[in-house]
Amino acid sequence: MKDLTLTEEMILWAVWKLEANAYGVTIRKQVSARTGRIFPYGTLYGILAKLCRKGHVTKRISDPTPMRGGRSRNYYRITSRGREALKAAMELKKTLWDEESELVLGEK
Amino acid sequence: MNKTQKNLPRVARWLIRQIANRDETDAIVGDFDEEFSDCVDSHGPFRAHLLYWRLILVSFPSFIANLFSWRGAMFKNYLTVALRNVRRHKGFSGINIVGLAIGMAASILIAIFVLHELSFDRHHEKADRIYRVVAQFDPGGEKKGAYTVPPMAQAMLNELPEVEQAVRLSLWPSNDLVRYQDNLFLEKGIIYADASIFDVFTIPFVLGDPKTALVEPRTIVLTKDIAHKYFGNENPLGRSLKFEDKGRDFKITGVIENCPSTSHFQYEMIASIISTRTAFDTGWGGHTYFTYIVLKDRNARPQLEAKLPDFCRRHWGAHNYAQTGQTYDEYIKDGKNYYGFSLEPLSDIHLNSDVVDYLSVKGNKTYVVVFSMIALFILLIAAINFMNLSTARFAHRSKEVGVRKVLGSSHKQLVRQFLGESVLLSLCALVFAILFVNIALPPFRNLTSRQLELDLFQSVYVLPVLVGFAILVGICAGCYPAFFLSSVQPARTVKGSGQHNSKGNVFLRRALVALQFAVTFGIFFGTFVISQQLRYVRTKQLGFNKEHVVVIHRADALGKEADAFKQELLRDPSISVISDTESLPGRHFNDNSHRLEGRPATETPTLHTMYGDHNFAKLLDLEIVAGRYFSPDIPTDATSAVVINETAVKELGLTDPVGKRFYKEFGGAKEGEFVTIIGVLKDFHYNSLHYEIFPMIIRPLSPSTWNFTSVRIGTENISKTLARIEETWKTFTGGQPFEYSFLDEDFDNLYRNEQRMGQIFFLFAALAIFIACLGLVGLISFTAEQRTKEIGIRKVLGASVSKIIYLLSREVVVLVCVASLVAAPVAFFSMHKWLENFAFRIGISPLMFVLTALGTLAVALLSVSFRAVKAAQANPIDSIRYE
Repeated sequence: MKDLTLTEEMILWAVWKLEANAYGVTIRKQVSARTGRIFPYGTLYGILAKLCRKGHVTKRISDPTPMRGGRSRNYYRITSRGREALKAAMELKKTLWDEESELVLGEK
Repeated sequence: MNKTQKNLPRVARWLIRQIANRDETDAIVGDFDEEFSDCVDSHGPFRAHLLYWRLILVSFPSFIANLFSWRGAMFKNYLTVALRNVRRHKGFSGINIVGLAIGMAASILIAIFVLHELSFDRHHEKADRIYRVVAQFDPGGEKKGAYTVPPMAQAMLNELPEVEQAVRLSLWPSNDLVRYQDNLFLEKGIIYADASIFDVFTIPFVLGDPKTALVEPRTIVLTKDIAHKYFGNENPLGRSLKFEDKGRDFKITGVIENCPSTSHFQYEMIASIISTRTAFDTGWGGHTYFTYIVLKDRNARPQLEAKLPDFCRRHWGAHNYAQTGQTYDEYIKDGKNYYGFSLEPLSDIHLNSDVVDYLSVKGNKTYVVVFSMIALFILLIAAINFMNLSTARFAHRSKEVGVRKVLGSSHKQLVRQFLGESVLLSLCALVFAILFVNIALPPFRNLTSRQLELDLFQSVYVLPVLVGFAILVGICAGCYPAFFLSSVQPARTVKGSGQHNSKGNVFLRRALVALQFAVTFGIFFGTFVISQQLRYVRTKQLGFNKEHVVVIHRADALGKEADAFKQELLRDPSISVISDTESLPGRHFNDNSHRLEGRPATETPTLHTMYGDHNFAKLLDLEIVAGRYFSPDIPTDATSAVVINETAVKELGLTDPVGKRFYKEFGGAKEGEFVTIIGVLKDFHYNSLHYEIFPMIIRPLSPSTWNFTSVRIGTENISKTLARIEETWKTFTGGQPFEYSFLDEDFDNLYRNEQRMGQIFFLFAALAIFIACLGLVGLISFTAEQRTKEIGIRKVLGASVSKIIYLLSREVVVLVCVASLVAAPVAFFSMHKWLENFAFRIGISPLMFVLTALGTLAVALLSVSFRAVKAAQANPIDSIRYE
């Protein structure tokens, strides 16, 4: 299995974190809040589609909500495959970052 | 809470819809809406707008990237399918691409030529304000001459405030022997000009100062090439060139860039005009110079033209009054005589001129138009072919279309696919076309005698225009099959009813093929008529013997040695006659007005004037119908005798011409001196067959009018005789270059323009026909393939090979006949118009139409039989089994 890119990882993480309430607006806000920059929808949907294809998330189209001018939401849920990928990413990060590197990098 | 107010602005939503991924659009727009309304609640509408526009802008690039990655997948599939198709039908695609490439190459070549012709004289900065002043000899402006009188330029500059600058050029072709130390060359590109030439025309200097370059007499400016020829890499400024014939030195005051090929007057050296005596002439009678003026304001032309009649009356009128005692108004009163000036824009001189100017590089608007049309036709034929073949082949693919439709392809996608495919092929064709153009350019350059280039990177426009052109051709040619195919009913095709051809489709294809043949017919006919006419002018009896006459140019260089030179030559038995003349048939003859004794001073008909010695009639085997020709034994013949032609007798209204007398001076102003008509020559075509035979007079040659010496030589050992003449020439002139031509070749050169254009016409005609045939071969192979089964069954049931061939080619015969009928009138009228250029011409007979139609038919059948025979001979077992 190919490693996730950082953006994929962030989005997948947001979907996992949001659990049942993961759809466009919430995912985007979650990621934006973490990075502190505006996260564009174009990238978001591009990557969500890719994650869907890879089987990391599943998509469910909700009933139309009046709040959105009668348009439906696309809800995303993480799959077990997605969880594994996320976990693998986390493990990878852990091997990269230990206390020593934090100390050294922090000094600079 | 008002919902509608909190929705996204409409523009933004529309934008998102355009770029969002197709199946996610709803969700995305929803997301935007939701965030927006949240934001309005928390930050107020203004901040919300600001924020959301920002969000949209940020999302833009990634949306577009997504779009492409989606389309890209489909595109890859289209490309694969297209390439597979090209590969599977190699012959078919080859014919398609090569045909289109040849068509494109031909039209690119013609476009280069046409653009080059149109670019003449546009390189001068003041081009839109420069005019040539021409003399006009009739009130309607039918007869105009480019030669004007010496004092005119200065007079215009002084008296007409609209004129900013004026310049006189002397463009008489003059050959001068020029020497610098040991370098001796015969120069042909010498022109004389006023110092203001560099103010009027844009001629960039390499060395020297344009302000002062030609101000003094005997100064000269050289082009780079010429400077290099004489001086190598030395600085030529301040040095002198010796003009051997004039015995004078010219000081070099400047070096200029080489003359651009798109200049209507060509030069290699420009000498100051005040080096010649004529430049100081104040008379308004001698027409010697070209006069160009620059207007202060480009819109001042009508204003200036309104002043010209008065200007002419003031100057030329006064001159005429002094000569004939007739005022200007009396002179032009009865409408028979006229003299005036008119202006001709610089940009019209090359292509659009109706002025007689004897320039060496001359364009022809008709040819530019005709060639543009041929280019269009060739392109049309090629595009039709492309379209026909594509439609035929695409019909094979109706199954593919059906499947694509069933799988959810939209109409739009299919159109895009097929259009894209045809654009792809046409781009391939463009690559080949550019290759062909590069191969064909050198011979084409010779053919047109123009410096034509195809430089793809010369300007930023060239490549985009070419690619745009290819895409346009691709779209035009692909549009029918694309729309036709994409509207196919999937159910019918997938069910396997196979290739179906709707009635309309077949009709359209037939109509297009007929159109192709109509064009082919027209081109065939044009080629036929042109070649017949050219053969006619070359073989027509001209009334004189132009064969085996060597013309020695610059013969006056012999000076006093002339007689000795001739004596020496006549010792050679293969040389029979030697004659000195001023001009020769096929060359320029001066026009001079002549007045008969006893006729009024106003009756002075213009006669073409030539000076010749007593051997001239013998040299050309001219026939005398009355009286006699000059004789060396009668001394008065050398001074006061003339010979005229039959047309002159008619024009003058003489019944018994021999013994009648002309005033010796032209125009007959001076009393007392006369020349007597001693003989009448039978009319002969001393000019090209474009023109009627004019009234002509031959006057006895004097040393000052002597230009040529012509030698009639034997039919054998021509090169040996020539060598002997050259050797003798060298001994008697002290080694001057020997320049000669053959009279018959000079005469043929009068039709060089037509011949050259004829050759180009033939070339493109051949190309057009070739492309049409290619298309036909392709089409017939398609039909044959489609009817394989039918042919097989017919053969099994006893049809003969010839029956099958007949079956396949019957349609073509009908099409050719229809096309010929349609094209014949158009072809007739256009060729009739062309023939009107010639005073002596062939008639267009019905037989020509029949022959052309037969030719077209033959070509068509030949290309059809190529494939039809193969189809007919095929083993029926193979063909029936082919599914």
